[in-house]
Amino acid sequence: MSSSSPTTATTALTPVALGAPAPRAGAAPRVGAAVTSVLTEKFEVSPDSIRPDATLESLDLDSLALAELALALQDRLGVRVEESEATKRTTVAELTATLITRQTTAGAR
Amino acid sequence: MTTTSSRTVAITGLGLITPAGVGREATWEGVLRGRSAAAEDPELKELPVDFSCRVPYMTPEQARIGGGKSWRMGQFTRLAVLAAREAVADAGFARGGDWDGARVAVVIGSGLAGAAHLEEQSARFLKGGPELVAPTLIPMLISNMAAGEVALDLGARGPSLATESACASGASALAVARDLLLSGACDIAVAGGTEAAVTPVITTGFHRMGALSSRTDEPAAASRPFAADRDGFVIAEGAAVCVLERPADAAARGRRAYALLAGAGQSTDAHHPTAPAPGGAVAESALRTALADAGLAPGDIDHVNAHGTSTPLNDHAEADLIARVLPHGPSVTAPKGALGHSLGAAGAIEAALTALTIHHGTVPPVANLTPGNLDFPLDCVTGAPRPQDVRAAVTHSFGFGGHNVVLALTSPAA
Repeated sequence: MSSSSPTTATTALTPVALGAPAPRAGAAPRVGAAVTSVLTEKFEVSPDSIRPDATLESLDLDSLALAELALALQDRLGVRVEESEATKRTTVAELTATLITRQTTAGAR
Repeated sequence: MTTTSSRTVAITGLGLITPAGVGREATWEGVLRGRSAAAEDPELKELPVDFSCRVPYMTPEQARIGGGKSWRMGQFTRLAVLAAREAVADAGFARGGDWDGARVAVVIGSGLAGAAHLEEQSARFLKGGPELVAPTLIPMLISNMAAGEVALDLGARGPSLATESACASGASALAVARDLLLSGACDIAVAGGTEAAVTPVITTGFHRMGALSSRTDEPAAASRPFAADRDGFVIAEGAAVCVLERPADAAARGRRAYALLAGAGQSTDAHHPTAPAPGGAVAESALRTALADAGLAPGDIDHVNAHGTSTPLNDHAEADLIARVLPHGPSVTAPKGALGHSLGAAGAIEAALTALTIHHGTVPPVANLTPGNLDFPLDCVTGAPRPQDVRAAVTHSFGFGGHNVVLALTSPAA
């Protein structure tokens, strides 16, 4: 497996960078780190290409990979990821924002 | 001795990943040491049989599939892809480069294929329902996917398929690949076997049917082919891939073969699903067919690379077979003493080791066997490697289902 540079990549996915609404403290960095690490470790995506506006298709994820990505994030974060929330046209920022919202909602229950 | 017949193909590349080592050279050196790789296995903790022969730790570089593809592959497929790359590079081909891909065949056998992944996903299904089942389950499970991914990785667009004959699957792959070459269906064949099914449920299944050694107090002494006190096999994992070409094509490229795959013989016991026919009566016809196919007489065989599983029944039937058909006493080795039984990979691993035996003029010893505990009138090599100029050898593979596959290999120098 290629070693990622988590510090840089996580920084790029802070809520400010993503333009996401401010959720509960702590959720956003955790979600950003999970998205980054699944993409870099499991799918061997180059950390440099994981930009907020990058679509999942542009990261070379095909439909089987998208389904596997959703399950990996679900395993990692304990929240459900719908098929429509991780499509070829979904951006990294959109996926991350969805997960942050979902996790915040789940955590507030 | 033999002349090279038109039914002979050259083995020009070898790739090996086994419990003795990652790579062809590491495996060969490990097998020559003649020590068992069996050890307690944390994944089998607290099971009735809690030891196995695992492939050693692979560095990230050694394990690297690359190209963002590893996630979709079952472990048996990963091992096959890595072994195939080593074999193809060893044969002097650039991966996906300097060959006509349409003329390259891929045949990879496996016994249990992605059973490990089915076991894992079944557990997830029972725990959390259908939504926890991985979308990659089917590609990780189906037994042809090692051949499919190897072909994809190498850009091989000729015929490809998996062979399934249980513990003879890897040998079947080589026999089928040779036929593809001889029929003109391809010009290069990438063929072998792979297995990665050392799991709690599979291991327990073999234990429940009484096939495994239960020497839990001393795992490294458990696999002891042809020893009087053998009590079963040790489950293992691994992969081997060979590159086969017509000898004239190899010569035209200036490549020296490790050995020639000169003949193959296949038969089926039609006796019992899991027990061998007594005395190897039907296996004998596979052996005789392989010899005839290679244009060899029994007396030409200098060396036998035995199936030698360390189970009471197999080794008894196989020893009878060797003593009866090859009474002149060729040297015998049994790699499962060192490597354990890698099921569908074993036949290909042992064919590759037979090619290396011919190439190096050295017969590896049988681990855990001494002249004192040898149960049969065979010339088993024990203790240390034996230098021997092997001109013609056979390697036996027998699988549940009654499948018998014998491959005859000869020296390219003959």
